[in-house]
Amino acid sequence: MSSGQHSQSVVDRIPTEILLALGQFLDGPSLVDCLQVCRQWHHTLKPLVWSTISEYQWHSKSCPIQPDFNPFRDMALLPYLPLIRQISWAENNIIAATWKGSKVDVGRQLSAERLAWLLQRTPNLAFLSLRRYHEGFAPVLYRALADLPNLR
Amino acid sequence: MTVILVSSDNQDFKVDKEVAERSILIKNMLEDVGESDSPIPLPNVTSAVLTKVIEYCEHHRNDPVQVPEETDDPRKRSNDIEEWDMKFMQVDQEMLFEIILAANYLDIKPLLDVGCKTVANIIKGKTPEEIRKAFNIVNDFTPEEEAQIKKENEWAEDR
Repeated sequence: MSSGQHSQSVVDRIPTEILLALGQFLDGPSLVDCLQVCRQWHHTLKPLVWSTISEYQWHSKSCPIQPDFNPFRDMALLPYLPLIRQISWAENNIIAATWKGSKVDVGRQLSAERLAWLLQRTPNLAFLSLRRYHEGFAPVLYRALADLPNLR
Repeated sequence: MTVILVSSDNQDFKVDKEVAERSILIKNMLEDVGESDSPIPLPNVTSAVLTKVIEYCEHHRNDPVQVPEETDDPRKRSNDIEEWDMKFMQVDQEMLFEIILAANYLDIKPLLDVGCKTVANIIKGKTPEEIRKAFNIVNDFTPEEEAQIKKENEWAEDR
């Protein structure tokens, strides 16, 4: 007996946990494309886009958090910043090495002011890693440690 | 020592215990049951899929147990699939997802990872529409939602 229904595609049977496992292997730009695929992907993958901000995830210029202030761009970011739990700012050392020959923005450096701005807007930040440290960071980091209950 | 696995379509598969124990689910079952040669039913896995899964476990029978890497970036790379695994994953998409589902059910983490990496590599560089096409996914957003989501993600466009 045939029910007359289309056989269900195997992708439709992919449970949320597998979609999340898959999301771990996607970089930022791919995740953003996935958000626009369908409702299930959107709801499941959205937290992944924002939970961790790192240079590896965003190996191109489209990283949501740029080292420079940009009022228009920053305004759009505000609602998402509380979702961030991890930030790894590695500068571009690794990327410059892997992508020899192609033009890479090497001189990007996070200023103390920019870091302070960011830390004041990420109340749920639990992990922060900065590969290149400069003296201006010290007061900013002390303040952040006092203000952010989850930061380690 | 061998164990007998029974697929959902009632086929018996006789495999070395060491191979079967690549599946944490089976390993735990065997530990709970103790010495016993009663067959292990796997009602969620068809014989076609189980054949593939056993092939994987045979090849990787001597792999060391995976330890989670200490890294401050939970994002994992998808471009480090070994050659054998890459060939192993050259199956049609239906089978690819069946293997992923089975690896998840049987708790075979390295196989789940390889499956997810393979899918991730298919996704990379594709537009949302191309992703839908590749996996036969229906766009269930209303036009309004779609416009809204596009707007939400404008920050990610290269500028």
